[in-house]
Amino acid sequence: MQSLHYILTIFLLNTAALVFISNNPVHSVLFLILNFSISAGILFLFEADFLGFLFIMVYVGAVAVLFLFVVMMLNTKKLIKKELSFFHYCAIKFVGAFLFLCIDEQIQLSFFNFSNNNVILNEFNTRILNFDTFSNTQLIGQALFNYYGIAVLIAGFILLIALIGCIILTISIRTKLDATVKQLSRKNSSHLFN
Amino acid sequence: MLLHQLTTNTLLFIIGFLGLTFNYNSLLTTLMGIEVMLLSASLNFITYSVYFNDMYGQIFSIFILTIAASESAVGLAILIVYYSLRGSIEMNYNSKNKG
Repeated sequence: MQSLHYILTIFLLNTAALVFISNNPVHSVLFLILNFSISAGILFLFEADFLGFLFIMVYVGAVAVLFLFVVMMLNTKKLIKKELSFFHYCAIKFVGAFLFLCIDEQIQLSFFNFSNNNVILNEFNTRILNFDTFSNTQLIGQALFNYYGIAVLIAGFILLIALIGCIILTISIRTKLDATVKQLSRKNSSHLFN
Repeated sequence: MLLHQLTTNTLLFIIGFLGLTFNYNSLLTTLMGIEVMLLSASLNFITYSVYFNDMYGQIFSIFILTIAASESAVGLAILIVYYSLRGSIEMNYNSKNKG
């Protein structure tokens, strides 16, 4: 299982890098889908089944397909990838290494504060995770709807606002008028009986 | 294994951040960078949740998922409006910012 985790991790990082490296936007969206799927696989490995399925449903099924729709809709063939110079590559590597060192130091510090308690560490390594006798889905449902009801409502409201915002943004006055004229000038009888 | 996964999440975040900042290509790549960064944050929550045998990291991850979905939807709608106004989604500031 350890080796499987290593392999999945390597694929995760490589696909994440290929999202930004690849020239064609369609390819980069497909790599994004692969990235989300591999992260769902890592969650299955962690025994967070519900979140894994949710990642596949929401990220792969909704978000990435939305990206794919937009890429197909827009004319992205005109896009010409600019070749980065040597200085740019050096700058990217330098900034990346600097950020990694900054964040990794904090992670190491927090990790060694936790790792004084070896019991928890061994438990994580051997993966004996029993949240009592409930399944993962049941537990998330219990906690979500018992203690986080208002948060669920707010999340639903945010989704509603996003929906309305998308519709208002993409609808333009001209297309609306065209649609109205087309609908009013349509003959009902021909529409029904032909 | 915890440290390994945390390092992976950090690297994923940094890849997303660098792709967000250092792209000279299109505005679509920016949104993908934000998605990758949100994914790494969500994975970090879930990792600690599994490590501590605690449920609340996974619940927070669901809310991050909600925000990510709505953010990408609104961002793509803005991108479509930008395309219909400008005719392209290139990030070429020199030719677009005239006057």
